Amino acid sequence: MTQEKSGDGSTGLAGKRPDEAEVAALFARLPDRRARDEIATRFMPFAEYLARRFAGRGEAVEDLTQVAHIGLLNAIDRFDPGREVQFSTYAAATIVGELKRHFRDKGWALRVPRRLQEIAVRINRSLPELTQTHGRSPTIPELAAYLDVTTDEIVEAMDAVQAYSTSSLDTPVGEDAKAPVDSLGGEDPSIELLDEWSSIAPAVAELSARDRRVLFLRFFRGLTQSEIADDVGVSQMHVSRILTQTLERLRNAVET
Amino acid sequence: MDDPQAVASVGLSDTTVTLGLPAHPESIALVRAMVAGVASRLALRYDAVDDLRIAAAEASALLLTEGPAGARLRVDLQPSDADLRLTIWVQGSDASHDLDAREGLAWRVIEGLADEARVTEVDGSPAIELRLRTVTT
Repeated sequence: MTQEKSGDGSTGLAGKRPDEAEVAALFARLPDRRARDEIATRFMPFAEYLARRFAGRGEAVEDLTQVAHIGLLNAIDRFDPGREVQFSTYAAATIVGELKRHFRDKGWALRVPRRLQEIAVRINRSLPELTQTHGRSPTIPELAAYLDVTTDEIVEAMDAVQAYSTSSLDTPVGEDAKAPVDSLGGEDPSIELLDEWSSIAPAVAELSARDRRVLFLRFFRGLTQSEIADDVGVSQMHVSRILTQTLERLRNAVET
Repeated sequence: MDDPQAVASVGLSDTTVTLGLPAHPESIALVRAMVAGVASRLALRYDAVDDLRIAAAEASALLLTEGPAGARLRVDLQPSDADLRLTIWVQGSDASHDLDAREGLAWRVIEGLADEARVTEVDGSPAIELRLRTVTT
């Protein structure tokens, strides 16, 4: 919280950004937990600033702030200090991406009980950390114990996450089809995927680049959902939704 | 219910849970729910459980393409300390159903998402068996 005091009084975006050199030093200390917390604390006002830019669109500011915080934590976990991009730039892209997804997946607020929304958010937030602790994705009992909820609540939240976005199945993938890190390189999966699948499912060709990449990484590279989440720059839950929806689309395409 | 060992001790482990549903695509959502319900009580990775749900849905969809009218979709779930086994079949469907081909998108998905996937037979009907191993701590 020192950041707010150390600001130079400007109300613009620049005033919300912590000093990059200090931040780089903190990143050098990772995975030290205190360094991670310190980065998170310093960038909280920045995340909140971005959240407020999305206010007035029918979502409570507290919810948006929570989404922005998740985006921030994801950004911290995925940021590669070796790249020639400042963390604040990377964080902004990730946070805004998370906020946009939140709106794209609207219907959530109407259909999913608040309690489950909260659990889903907490699962989403704790997955990267628990994955690091265990060296693998946590089990559902481990998650339940960590979050102090029942295993059934975890399952309900998993279902809620799937359910709330089914309405977007047929909608064309919009402006945030590109995840922040999509543009940072990596092999283009389209050719390999199309070679194997084009005869079976021409619909593959109609998928967005990101969805194709998720399929490619899962079925041709054998990456886990968590690993794909890191690669593509979305949450593990989002990878889960992409897989479920994409496969459903392809299955429908095969059947018709 | 948080400790997988405690779960095993309350009796779910080594008990077969059997599901019987109308052989309609609408039943797939219930298969997914049941798989998650049972899987969540075992020491299975969170993302692997999600994968298994997708695999089970895909296997069900594959089997449902050739079921006779009025048939039942059956799912056996066999949890143990070592793994969760799923056997999915459409009761009364014909063994000529060519699952052995193991080709196409559906198989790629099924094999990619479960630790093991194989074609088997239950009472003369073709079945798909999926296996997901528990984590070793």
